[in-house]
Amino acid sequence: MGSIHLIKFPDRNTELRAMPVFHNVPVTRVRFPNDILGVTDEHIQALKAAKIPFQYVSKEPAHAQKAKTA
Amino acid sequence: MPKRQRPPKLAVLDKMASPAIRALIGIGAVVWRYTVLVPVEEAKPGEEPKRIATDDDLLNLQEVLTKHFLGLTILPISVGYGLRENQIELNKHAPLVVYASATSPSDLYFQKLRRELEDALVQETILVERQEVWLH
Repeated sequence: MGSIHLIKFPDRNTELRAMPVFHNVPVTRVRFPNDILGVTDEHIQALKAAKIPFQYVSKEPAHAQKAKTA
Repeated sequence: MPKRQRPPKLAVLDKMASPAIRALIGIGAVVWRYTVLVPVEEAKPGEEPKRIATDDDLLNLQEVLTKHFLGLTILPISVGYGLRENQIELNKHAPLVVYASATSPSDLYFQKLRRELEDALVQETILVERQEVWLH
Protein backbone atom coordinates (compact mmCIF):
# COMPACT_ATOMS: atom_id res chain seq x y z
CA MET A 1 0.00 0.00 0.00
CA GLY A 2 1.36 3.44 -0.92
CA SER A 3 1.54 6.58 1.16
CA ILE A 4 -1.29 8.94 1.98
CA HIS A 5 -0.63 12.66 1.62
CA LEU A 6 -2.56 15.66 2.85
CA ILE A 7 -2.44 18.39 0.23
CA LYS A 8 -4.00 21.74 -0.55
CA PHE A 9 -4.28 23.69 -3.80
CA PRO A 10 -3.32 27.38 -3.93
CA ASP A 11 -6.82 28.38 -5.03
CA ARG A 12 -10.13 27.04 -6.25
CA ASN A 13 -9.29 27.49 -9.94
CA THR A 14 -6.26 25.26 -9.54
CA GLU A 15 -8.37 22.63 -7.82
CA LEU A 16 -10.83 22.88 -10.69
CA ARG A 17 -7.97 22.19 -13.12
CA ALA A 18 -7.08 19.14 -11.04
CA MET A 19 -10.55 17.61 -11.38
CA PRO A 20 -10.07 15.99 -14.83
CA VAL A 21 -6.68 14.75 -13.65
CA PHE A 22 -8.30 13.08 -10.65
CA HIS A 23 -10.99 11.53 -12.87
CA ASN A 24 -8.26 9.48 -14.51
CA VAL A 25 -6.82 8.18 -11.24
CA PRO A 26 -8.75 5.04 -10.28
CA VAL A 27 -8.09 5.44 -6.56
CA THR A 28 -10.23 6.83 -3.72
CA ARG A 29 -9.42 10.22 -2.23
CA VAL A 30 -10.90 12.08 0.71
CA ARG A 31 -11.73 15.68 1.44
CA PHE A 32 -11.63 17.45 4.80
CA PRO A 33 -12.69 20.91 5.97
CA ASN A 34 -10.47 23.85 4.97
CA ASP A 35 -10.05 22.43 1.44
CA ILE A 36 -7.59 19.76 2.55
CA LEU A 37 -7.46 16.60 0.44
CA GLY A 38 -6.18 13.18 1.44
CA VAL A 39 -4.64 11.60 -1.66
CA THR A 40 -2.36 8.72 -2.60
CA ASP A 41 0.94 8.46 -4.46
CA GLU A 42 -1.04 7.89 -7.67
CA HIS A 43 -2.81 11.24 -7.32
CA ILE A 44 0.47 13.01 -6.56
CA GLN A 45 2.14 11.52 -9.63
CA ALA A 46 -0.81 12.53 -11.83
CA LEU A 47 -0.80 16.11 -10.48
CA LYS A 48 2.94 16.42 -11.06
CA ALA A 49 2.63 15.02 -14.59
CA ALA A 50 -0.09 17.58 -15.35
CA LYS A 51 2.04 20.35 -13.74
CA ILE A 52 -0.73 21.32 -11.35
CA PRO A 53 0.68 23.12 -8.31
CA PHE A 54 -0.22 22.03 -4.78
CA GLN A 55 1.33 22.14 -1.36
CA TYR A 56 1.78 19.39 1.18
CA VAL A 57 -0.07 19.92 4.42
CA SER A 58 1.40 16.73 5.83
CA LYS A 59 5.14 16.18 5.82
CA GLU A 60 6.40 14.42 2.75
CA PRO A 61 7.08 10.76 3.48
CA ALA A 62 10.64 10.04 4.56
CA HIS A 63 11.49 8.02 1.45
CA ALA A 64 10.40 10.94 -0.79
CA GLN A 65 12.61 13.35 1.17
CA LYS A 66 15.55 10.93 0.86
CA ALA A 67 15.01 10.67 -2.89
CA LYS A 68 15.21 14.48 -3.18
CA THR A 69 18.47 14.70 -1.30
CA ALA A 70 20.01 11.67 -2.98
CA MET B 1 -38.84 22.77 -25.52
CA PRO B 2 -36.45 20.43 -23.67
CA LYS B 3 -35.22 21.50 -20.25
CA ARG B 4 -31.66 22.76 -20.13
CA GLN B 5 -29.07 21.74 -17.60
CA ARG B 6 -28.04 24.33 -15.05
CA PRO B 7 -25.63 24.40 -12.10
CA PRO B 8 -27.25 22.78 -9.02
CA LYS B 9 -28.37 25.31 -6.39
CA LEU B 10 -26.76 23.76 -3.35
CA ALA B 11 -27.42 26.69 -1.04
CA VAL B 12 -30.88 25.16 -0.49
CA LEU B 13 -29.13 22.54 1.66
CA ASP B 14 -27.55 25.02 4.07
CA LYS B 15 -30.59 25.36 6.29
CA MET B 16 -30.88 21.56 6.56
CA ALA B 17 -27.25 21.17 7.56
CA SER B 18 -27.64 21.19 11.33
CA PRO B 19 -25.31 19.24 13.62
CA ALA B 20 -28.17 16.68 13.83
CA ILE B 21 -27.17 15.22 10.47
CA ARG B 22 -23.54 14.62 11.42
CA ALA B 23 -22.53 11.08 12.29
CA LEU B 24 -21.30 10.32 15.78
CA ILE B 25 -17.89 8.83 15.12
CA GLY B 26 -15.64 7.22 17.68
CA ILE B 27 -18.20 6.30 20.32
CA GLY B 28 -19.62 3.09 18.82
CA ALA B 29 -22.84 3.89 17.02
CA VAL B 30 -25.01 3.04 14.06
CA VAL B 31 -24.66 5.59 11.28
CA TRP B 32 -25.96 5.82 7.73
CA ARG B 33 -23.51 5.80 4.88
CA TYR B 34 -24.89 7.64 1.88
CA THR B 35 -23.44 7.25 -1.59
CA VAL B 36 -24.54 9.84 -4.15
CA LEU B 37 -23.90 8.71 -7.72
CA VAL B 38 -23.45 11.93 -9.65
CA PRO B 39 -23.79 11.41 -13.41
CA VAL B 40 -20.76 12.73 -15.25
CA GLU B 41 -21.14 11.40 -18.76
CA GLU B 42 -23.52 9.30 -20.83
CA ALA B 43 -22.85 7.79 -24.23
CA LYS B 44 -25.05 5.99 -26.73
CA PRO B 45 -23.65 3.85 -29.55
CA GLY B 46 -22.64 6.00 -32.52
CA GLU B 47 -23.08 9.28 -30.65
CA GLU B 48 -20.65 11.66 -28.98
CA PRO B 49 -20.60 11.27 -25.18
CA LYS B 50 -22.76 13.83 -23.40
CA ARG B 51 -21.36 15.58 -20.36
CA ILE B 52 -23.78 15.84 -17.46
CA ALA B 53 -22.32 17.30 -14.23
CA THR B 54 -19.44 19.66 -14.97
CA ASP B 55 -16.21 19.68 -12.96
CA ASP B 56 -17.42 22.92 -11.39
CA ASP B 57 -20.69 21.23 -10.36
CA LEU B 58 -18.72 18.32 -8.88
CA LEU B 59 -16.34 20.57 -6.99
CA ASN B 60 -19.22 22.64 -5.61
CA LEU B 61 -20.92 19.48 -4.43
CA GLN B 62 -17.74 18.17 -2.84
CA GLU B 63 -17.23 21.47 -1.02
CA VAL B 64 -20.81 21.55 0.27
CA LEU B 65 -20.86 17.92 1.46
CA THR B 66 -17.50 18.39 3.19
CA LYS B 67 -18.75 21.52 4.93
CA HIS B 68 -21.98 19.89 6.07
CA PHE B 69 -20.60 16.48 7.13
CA LEU B 70 -17.01 17.51 8.01
CA GLY B 71 -15.55 15.00 5.57
CA LEU B 72 -16.18 13.27 2.28
CA THR B 73 -14.89 10.19 0.48
CA ILE B 74 -14.61 10.49 -3.29
CA LEU B 75 -14.54 7.09 -4.97
CA PRO B 76 -13.03 6.61 -8.45
CA ILE B 77 -15.29 7.28 -11.44
CA SER B 78 -17.52 4.25 -11.96
CA VAL B 79 -18.63 3.04 -15.37
CA GLY B 80 -21.93 1.27 -15.82
CA TYR B 81 -24.23 0.14 -18.59
CA GLY B 82 -27.96 0.66 -18.81
CA LEU B 83 -30.80 -0.02 -21.17
CA ARG B 84 -32.90 3.03 -22.05
CA GLU B 85 -35.72 2.62 -24.58
CA ASN B 86 -34.12 -0.64 -25.79
CA GLN B 87 -30.83 1.10 -26.46
CA ILE B 88 -27.64 0.36 -24.58
CA GLU B 89 -26.15 3.35 -22.82
CA LEU B 90 -22.81 3.77 -21.08
CA ASN B 91 -22.80 5.94 -18.00
CA LYS B 92 -19.99 7.37 -15.91
CA HIS B 93 -20.70 8.42 -12.35
CA ALA B 94 -18.72 10.15 -9.62
CA PRO B 95 -19.60 8.35 -6.37
CA LEU B 96 -19.49 10.62 -3.30
CA VAL B 97 -19.72 8.97 0.12
CA VAL B 98 -20.50 10.51 3.52
CA TYR B 99 -21.30 9.22 6.98
CA ALA B 100 -24.43 10.81 8.44
CA SER B 101 -26.42 10.34 11.61
CA ALA B 102 -29.06 7.62 11.38
CA THR B 103 -31.96 10.06 11.75
CA SER B 104 -34.76 11.54 9.65
CA PRO B 105 -33.01 14.89 9.09
CA SER B 106 -30.29 13.03 7.19
CA ASP B 107 -32.87 11.42 4.91
CA LEU B 108 -34.58 14.76 4.33
CA TYR B 109 -31.23 16.31 3.43
CA PHE B 110 -30.44 13.66 0.82
CA GLN B 111 -33.97 13.69 -0.59
CA LYS B 112 -33.60 17.43 -1.13
CA LEU B 113 -30.16 16.97 -2.68
CA ARG B 114 -31.43 14.23 -5.00
CA ARG B 115 -34.36 16.34 -6.21
CA GLU B 116 -32.12 19.37 -6.81
CA LEU B 117 -29.58 17.31 -8.77
CA GLU B 118 -32.35 15.69 -10.83
CA ASP B 119 -33.83 19.07 -11.65
CA ALA B 120 -30.54 20.87 -12.36
CA LEU B 121 -28.92 18.07 -14.37
CA VAL B 122 -32.21 17.10 -16.08
CA GLN B 123 -32.05 13.47 -15.00
CA GLU B 124 -35.01 11.18 -14.39
CA THR B 125 -33.27 9.63 -11.42
CA ILE B 126 -30.16 10.35 -9.43
CA LEU B 127 -29.19 7.33 -7.37
CA VAL B 128 -28.61 7.89 -3.68
CA GLU B 129 -27.82 4.74 -1.70
CA ARG B 130 -28.18 4.47 2.05
CA GLN B 131 -26.51 1.74 4.05
CA GLU B 132 -26.64 1.17 7.78
CA VAL B 133 -23.21 0.62 9.27
CA TRP B 134 -21.81 0.28 12.76
CA LEU B 135 -18.82 2.47 13.48
CA HIS B 136 -16.64 1.38 16.39
